[in-house]
Amino acid sequence: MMNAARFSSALGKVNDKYIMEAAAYQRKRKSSRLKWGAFAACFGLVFTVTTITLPGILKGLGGVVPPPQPDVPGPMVSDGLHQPSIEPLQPPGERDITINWDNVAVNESAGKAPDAALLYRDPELYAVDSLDVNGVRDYYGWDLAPAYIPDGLTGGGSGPGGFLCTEKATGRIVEEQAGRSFWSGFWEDGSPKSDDDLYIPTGFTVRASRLGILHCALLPVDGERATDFGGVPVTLSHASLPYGPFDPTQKAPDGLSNMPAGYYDIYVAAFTLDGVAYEIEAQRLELEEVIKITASIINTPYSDHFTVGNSQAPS
Amino acid sequence: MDDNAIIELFFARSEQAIRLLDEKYGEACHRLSYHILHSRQDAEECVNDAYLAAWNAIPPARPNPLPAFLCKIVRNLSLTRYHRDRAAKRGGGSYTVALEELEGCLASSHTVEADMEEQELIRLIEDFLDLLSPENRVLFMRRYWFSDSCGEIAERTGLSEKNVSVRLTRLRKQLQHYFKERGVI
Repeated sequence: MMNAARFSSALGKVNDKYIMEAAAYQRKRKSSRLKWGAFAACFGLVFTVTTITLPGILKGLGGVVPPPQPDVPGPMVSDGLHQPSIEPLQPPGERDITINWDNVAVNESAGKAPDAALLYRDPELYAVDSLDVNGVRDYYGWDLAPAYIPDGLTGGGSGPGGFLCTEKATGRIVEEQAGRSFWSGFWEDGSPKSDDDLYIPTGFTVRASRLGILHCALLPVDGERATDFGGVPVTLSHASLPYGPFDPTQKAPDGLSNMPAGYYDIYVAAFTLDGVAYEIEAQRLELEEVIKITASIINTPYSDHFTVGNSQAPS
Repeated sequence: MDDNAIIELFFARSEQAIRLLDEKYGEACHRLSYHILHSRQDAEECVNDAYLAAWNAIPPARPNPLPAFLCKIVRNLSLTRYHRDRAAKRGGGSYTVALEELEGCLASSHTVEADMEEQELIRLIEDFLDLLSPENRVLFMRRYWFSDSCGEIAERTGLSEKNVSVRLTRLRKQLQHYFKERGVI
């Protein structure tokens, strides 16, 4: 028999998209810009009407209109660029900070959703289209498979994937990214699988974005070095991340976790090529392998005498 | 912090993952559990159990989206406890009232085919949700998935409480009609 409990149990298993939609839903607030715009317009109208009619009214009533006093400084409005000459210039340290909201993917300063969930782009304003291998080729010019892939790593049968987020009103692309990963093993769902008991998969990911939006979070960085491959500037950064099992009787040096069993390396090579920003993020790979992958994408011959920090002129 | 970064911490078996999970989703989880159990202490225990379940599931699981995965665990654990407690005494939480509302439109003396698969029922519910406008879908899910009160839904959606109540009544009638058409009730 269908009853509420059975229905409720089945409802609990519906697709995650319905849950996320309900969790992230927020009522539409009136734009404060519009509100203040309307307020300013009303104020302007009242001010104009008063300025035009009040002297006539006062005259009509036999009153006296006071003369204008141009020398008396009154409140002034600055657009921030053109300072009125009678106001002293503000020292730079006291100027307002201007934030360029272009390319801001998720404005977390607007606060969390009521459920503390991530804020997503409003689907009424933005369209998000997936990119398959052909879409990635068309948009980025290649399929993100480097000429050099370290032994033992494969794409696991899946090609590159990506997305384009377009502002519906203008057709402007506001966010896009594509990526392709190569790992030593895969789970059935295609996610990377560790080939040992560290639970940390070995492999790397190539990410690309024409707008240069590659992250919504920052990786910890222990060190960063700049170099170049045939004239293309490349930033190489490194981070050591802990892996378990963790010893609960001791604290790790960072004080954030219990003492780990050890640390593994993450290297990131970042560069821009033909107007596309790239990142190669490698996990548990040697630096030399990361350099070979990067060189193969930039199409610069790899030298055995490569030194990070030195310019690598093409041979 | 980005959900992927939290999952990486789970994979690294760092307890920081639980702290960050609680910081980011703790409030929503507590609210969800409290709506079902109507007890701060029970909700606290359920949410802690949910964190432990997430710790045991990740890895190998790599849930995406993470909040839906976590909320489902919290809801399932809370419902299990609710039914266990209800066997002893009748509860008085928002979930109870939500269930009673649904009983009014779903209870039927007709038996469904005894072997009707739950998967089929889930598919029917998803089809029903797809028929609704986004706003009505959110109303329905907030009431019957998250067990929010009409007042909380009103606050979230900007509608009046009365309007929410009326819309939910219509949605229940729509659901009843939808299931009757398909011979489910």
